[in-house]
Amino acid sequence: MGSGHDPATSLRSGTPPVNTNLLAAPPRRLALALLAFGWTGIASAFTVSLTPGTRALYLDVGNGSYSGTYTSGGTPQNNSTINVVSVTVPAAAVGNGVAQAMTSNSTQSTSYYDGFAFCSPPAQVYVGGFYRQPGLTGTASLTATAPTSLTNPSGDTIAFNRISWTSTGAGDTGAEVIPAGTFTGGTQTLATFGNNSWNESCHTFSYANTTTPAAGTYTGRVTYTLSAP
Amino acid sequence: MKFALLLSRCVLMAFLASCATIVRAATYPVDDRASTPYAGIGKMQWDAPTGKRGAAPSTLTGRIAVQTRLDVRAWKHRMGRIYLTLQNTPLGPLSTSWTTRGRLLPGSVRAGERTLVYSGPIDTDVLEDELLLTIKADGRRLVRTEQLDFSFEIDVN
Repeated sequence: MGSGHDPATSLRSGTPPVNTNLLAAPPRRLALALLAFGWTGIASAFTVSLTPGTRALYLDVGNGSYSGTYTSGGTPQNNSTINVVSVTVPAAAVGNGVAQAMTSNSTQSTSYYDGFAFCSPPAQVYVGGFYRQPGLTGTASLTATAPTSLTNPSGDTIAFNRISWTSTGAGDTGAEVIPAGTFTGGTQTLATFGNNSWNESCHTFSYANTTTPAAGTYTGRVTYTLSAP
Repeated sequence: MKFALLLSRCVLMAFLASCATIVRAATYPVDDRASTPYAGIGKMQWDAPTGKRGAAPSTLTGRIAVQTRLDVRAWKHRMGRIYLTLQNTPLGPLSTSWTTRGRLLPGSVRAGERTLVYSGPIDTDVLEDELLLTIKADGRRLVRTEQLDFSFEIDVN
């Protein structure tokens, strides 16, 4: 029995009465069985609750603010700046059909995605942001809402669809995520952001210069909106 | 008569030895009811993206410390191997890793599996350590609050 004694001895030392009565008293055998079963019944565990990631939208048109960058775990900030895109058409060129490049007062060159120098202001205006929510589905829609016309203080107008933009970005190849277009006067969809994705482009605006409006300064505001259901 | 008695004792000894063998080979749950996940569980945060520019991450990371107290007095003076087990979850691939203060082993475990956290003599009534768990989950699957159930079990020599 030699070395085989150790475990048996160890078992007996913990429960001596059980060994002596195991064969002699069947009811106690049952008790032992129950005890063994109860032992495995000391089920215990600790539980950790996992909460879904927060739903988030961020849109930056022109100058924006961010603490750090997205890739470094930064946090989007509010920026109330409304940038201006403008052009002064020389009197001799008014209505000659040669598109006039517009410029902006934006200074936003870097992408808050990672700090990369993505746009070239003031000619280019940064447009970008992200959308994410828990789950497999869901998209966000980027729209621009422009009035029908730009107006001057005298009430003269220039149709907003005289203003277009091209789209690019440093290092980009292929189609831009927020592509080129022309304002339609009203609300139009510029892009759809997939779930858990950062999208950005640099827009360069131009005035078509195909009409001869009354002299003056014409203004109109375009509002960009990123929304998700 | 004496021979019969001796034989019955031998049978008894053999039975007990086989019982002992069965007990040794089994795996037992370890009572960890005294363990306490610290309050103020960190919320799951989206991970910073890696790889292709513009591709946002779909993984979430959360961290929690658990003051772990394992009642191992039932196996005192024996050799044992203690494992941390993570029950299966509907969350799909899930990564959990942890560090310790040294009494238990650091490691990682996937859902439905177990990982060794202690191997050696059981020389105390309670094994105590602090586990700092780091949990990574797929944000596309984690759409509501979910529970992760951990437990400890021991293989006794």
